[in-house]
Amino acid sequence: MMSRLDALKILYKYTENIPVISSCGNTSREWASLGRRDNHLYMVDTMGLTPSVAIGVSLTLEKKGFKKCIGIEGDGGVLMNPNSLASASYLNPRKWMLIVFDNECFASTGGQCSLASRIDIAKVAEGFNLKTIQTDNAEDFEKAVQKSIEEDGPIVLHAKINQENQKNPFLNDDPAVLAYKFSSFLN
Amino acid sequence: MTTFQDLACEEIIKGIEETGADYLLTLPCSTIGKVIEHFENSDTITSFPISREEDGVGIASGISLGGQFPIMLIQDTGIGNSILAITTFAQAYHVPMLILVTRRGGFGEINSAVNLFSEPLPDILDAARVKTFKLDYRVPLKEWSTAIKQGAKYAKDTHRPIIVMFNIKGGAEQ
Ligand SMILES: Cc1ncc(C[n+]2csc(CCOP(=O)(O)OP(=O)(O)O)c2C)c(N)n1
Ligand SMILES: [Mg+2]
Repeated sequence: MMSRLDALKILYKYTENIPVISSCGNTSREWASLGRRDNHLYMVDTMGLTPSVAIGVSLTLEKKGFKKCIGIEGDGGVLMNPNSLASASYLNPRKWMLIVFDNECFASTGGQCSLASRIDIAKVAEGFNLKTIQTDNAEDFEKAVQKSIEEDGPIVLHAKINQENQKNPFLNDDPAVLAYKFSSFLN
Repeated sequence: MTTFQDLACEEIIKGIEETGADYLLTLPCSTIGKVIEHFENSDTITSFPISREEDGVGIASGISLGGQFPIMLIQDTGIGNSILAITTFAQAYHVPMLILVTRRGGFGEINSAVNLFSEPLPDILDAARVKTFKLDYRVPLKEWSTAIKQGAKYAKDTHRPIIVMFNIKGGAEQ
């Protein structure tokens, strides 16, 4: 099984001109370690909110050239805010894409077991009527990323990953600056 | 007979329209049904329901980062469902939005639990430094739409979420 960093390296290749919002904890840190870009919005807290923010952004992209707005969230985060799946289903934002990195644990806080070890998040998303792709290796993940970006409609990419956490320095930038760069990129 | 509540709803509708907002996100309170119904049929503002206020703050933040302006219309207990997102996202990331909040608790309230959140809420918001303007019977109704319009402008000018809270039930300050 691939690690989160392996998966992020793949995603990085295909998202140079696509807004990407990454979740708090180690995900934003690993994502930033690959090279910072203004199309990235690094969330430093508010666990579970990236799918919601990505919905809002994707609504504003209707008349813009970007193919998608991608939210990256963990299994813990998605189960903290499944409401975002309900909203995505109801609003049907064409350019919304959610990647769920499912390691069946709270990796960023030390790998404690999460509820996803007994819940299939792809089925949860399907239960909300969302189109879903499930992958458990790097090759399939790469194909799924390429395919999902071209998809005309909301899509959830549920990626099983291992529990590895890369040690990276904390992101303690002023969030106002992080938001300003991202917003300037969008507008 | 036209009630205080009817007149207040008209003023709130007028205020929201005057802000020129692009989106209205709603989670109903029984007192503002008229406002929500009005905007369901609006062709200038896109309105939609949310299932939880925290998700709403996230969606509104995305809309704002994308260059459009959102208003959320919720009841005050919904702040309890969203205060983390308001502080650690909208406020920390300087994301403008207007949050319109109807008051519960106080005179006229028949619910036997809601007061335990609604009464301390102004102190909670002050402690969290979330800027809140309060409208009640002491502010002439004809000023309410102006306050809503100014609230939206203030949110944009000061780059943060602004709450305008109104007590439609009348009665004394809580
Ligand atoms: C409300 C809240 N509770 C707890 C935390 C602490 N916390 C930060 S990251 C994290 C783990 C998130 O798990 P998951 O979404 O599965 O991501 P992973 O680290 O496994 O990739 C937790 C519990 C938090 N930031 N916010
Ligand atoms: Mg996890």
